[in-house]
Amino acid sequence: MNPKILSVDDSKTIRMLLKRLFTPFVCELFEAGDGQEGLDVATREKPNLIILDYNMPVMDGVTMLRHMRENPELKRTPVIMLTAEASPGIIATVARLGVRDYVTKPFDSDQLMEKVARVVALERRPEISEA
Amino acid sequence: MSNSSVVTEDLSVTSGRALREVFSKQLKLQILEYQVIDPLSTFEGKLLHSAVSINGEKISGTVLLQLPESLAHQITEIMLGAAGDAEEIRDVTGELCNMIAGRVKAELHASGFPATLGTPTVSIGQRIALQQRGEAQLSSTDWSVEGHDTGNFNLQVQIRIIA
Amino acid sequence: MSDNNSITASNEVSVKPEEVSESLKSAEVLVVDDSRMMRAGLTRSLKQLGFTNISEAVDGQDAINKLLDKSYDLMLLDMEMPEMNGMEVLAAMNLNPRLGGVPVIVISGDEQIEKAVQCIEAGAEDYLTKPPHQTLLRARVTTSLEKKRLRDLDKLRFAQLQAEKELVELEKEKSEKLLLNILPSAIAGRLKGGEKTIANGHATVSVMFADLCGFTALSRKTNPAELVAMLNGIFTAFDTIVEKYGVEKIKTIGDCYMMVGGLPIHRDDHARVVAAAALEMVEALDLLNEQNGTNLKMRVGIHTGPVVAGVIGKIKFTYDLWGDTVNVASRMESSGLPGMVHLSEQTQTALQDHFVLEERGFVECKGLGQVKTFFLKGHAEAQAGGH
Repeated sequence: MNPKILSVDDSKTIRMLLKRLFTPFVCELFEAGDGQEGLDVATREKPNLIILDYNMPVMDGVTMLRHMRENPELKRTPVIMLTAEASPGIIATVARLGVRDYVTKPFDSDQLMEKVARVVALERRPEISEA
Repeated sequence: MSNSSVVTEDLSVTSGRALREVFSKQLKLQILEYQVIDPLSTFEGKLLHSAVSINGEKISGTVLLQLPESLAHQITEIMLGAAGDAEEIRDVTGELCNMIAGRVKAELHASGFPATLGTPTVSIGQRIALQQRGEAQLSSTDWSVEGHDTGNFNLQVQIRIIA
Repeated sequence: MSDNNSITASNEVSVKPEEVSESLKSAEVLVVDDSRMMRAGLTRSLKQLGFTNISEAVDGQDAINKLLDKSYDLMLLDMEMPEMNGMEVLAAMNLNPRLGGVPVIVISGDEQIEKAVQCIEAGAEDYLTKPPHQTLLRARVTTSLEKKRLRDLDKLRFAQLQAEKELVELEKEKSEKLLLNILPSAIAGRLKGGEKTIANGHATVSVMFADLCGFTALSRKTNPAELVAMLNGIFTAFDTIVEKYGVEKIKTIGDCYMMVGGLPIHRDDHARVVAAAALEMVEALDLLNEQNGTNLKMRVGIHTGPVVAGVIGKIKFTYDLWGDTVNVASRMESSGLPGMVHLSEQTQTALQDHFVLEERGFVECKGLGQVKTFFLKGHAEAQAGGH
């Protein structure tokens, strides 16, 4: 079964950017615009990786993480934070909730994908020639 | 307990640093500071403006980014990998301003002024200027993108100490 | 005439508890009570415990003002106060993020235990009954201050970690150019050949390979589904150990498990954590053998040195490691013995004296020549030998 990636961010630009980054690979991409939607999609799809923003309406990233850690089905889902939020307090809170990595915006797309590769093994689509 | 001088002298340095970081890391573009003689005569054509408010216990302010439409187009193409429609160009402009404001906020936080960011608003039109409110510190800097002749853009950051 | 056999007038057992530890004495403590007598009493008790920075607030609003003005390490808060009581102070603190982070011990009269419980649910850390017994005061205050200190250290550590991470990124960029020059030409060629790469050089990491022997023999006796389940069980156990030690699993190749210490961020104890994890993996396999009724063994090899890490490749987008260090680690595994952790001199040097090692001999490794090797026997502190 193809790896499933879920991006949770209220910025359409970021979601589109991530979509573009993952298009060359064999995987299924899902999106959510806030933490609540993120939880709904994660529960339904059981993604192999969640790329998660912090500042979002309805439910923020940390709250979504807390809910995930209390849910036996989502407890072990790997999460990479992708956020403009860089205060040590938030980073500490998030670290305690157990994320695989923490990437601040602005970010280098290559570096983000390297971190993704450490969590999920991906394959390039054969029809995509060297970029 | 006056830390206002920290906000003042560093605001244009802070905003320049934030801008450079976003442009180089996210867009892989080099930018140069640009001396504007007469702001009103520099721009022909429309500008996309994006504003993000910064609000904290001790400070209140705004980050305003203004890009010529053609530059906004180019940046959208870099971010999304393809030409974008009007809505996408607006979203990208808003997100760019959000990232810049995020860096400014991080530096303010480190100087002892924690704050949160508002959602970006985007509009289109002629060049605008933030009105200086009372004792606020205001920095306005213009820039060009190295190797691109899509016109200059402007970044304004205003921070007011409220406590 | 004084009677030396006189009974002590007071019924109280006047045992004066010791002062708190030096590091806590300078903590900023705020005492909040509308009663001057109670405030004075608490302040006196705190002074007897060795505290030197005690402030007082006369009511709830005064307390809030003082909290906004200065950073406190602890607040002792009376419940019953006019205008703004203890509960309302806690509510105000919850609403204002700037007031967060100050531990609160609520002081209440006996008959208000329910209110005290409510306060704890509203964020107070603990409660004491009025007037607090000196020993209890010392215990509760010390606990709160220690917990706060650990939380503050935690926050600082992660902020430092983030800053360190950025520094390491910068260092990596510098050393990358250097490392690409000393990589085997095959790898260097691929990197320069335009294959999409996102790779960085890392100066010193420890790489471990663990290979299950006896698996092929087992596959003749067991059906494929059971085999897969068994292998998954073993690798899942290894995954848990990897997480526990903060090392990074790279991949599994058939019945071989590869992990590395010191990535993605360098750590000085990279060899130590890999060695400790390896020992625990050997134990885990023994336990699984008991549970499954199997007799699987594994050879484990560890080597320390520079690697290039990242994503290189046209089709597979997976994180991997390259360089001689990887080859030597693999050689350590293949030239090792079942049930033993076999490591090179370079790893031995990095382990210093935290582990007990036994010299093995010399192993020929391409590129390095004769490498002196060791078997890992156990942790240095362990008195009774393990397996």
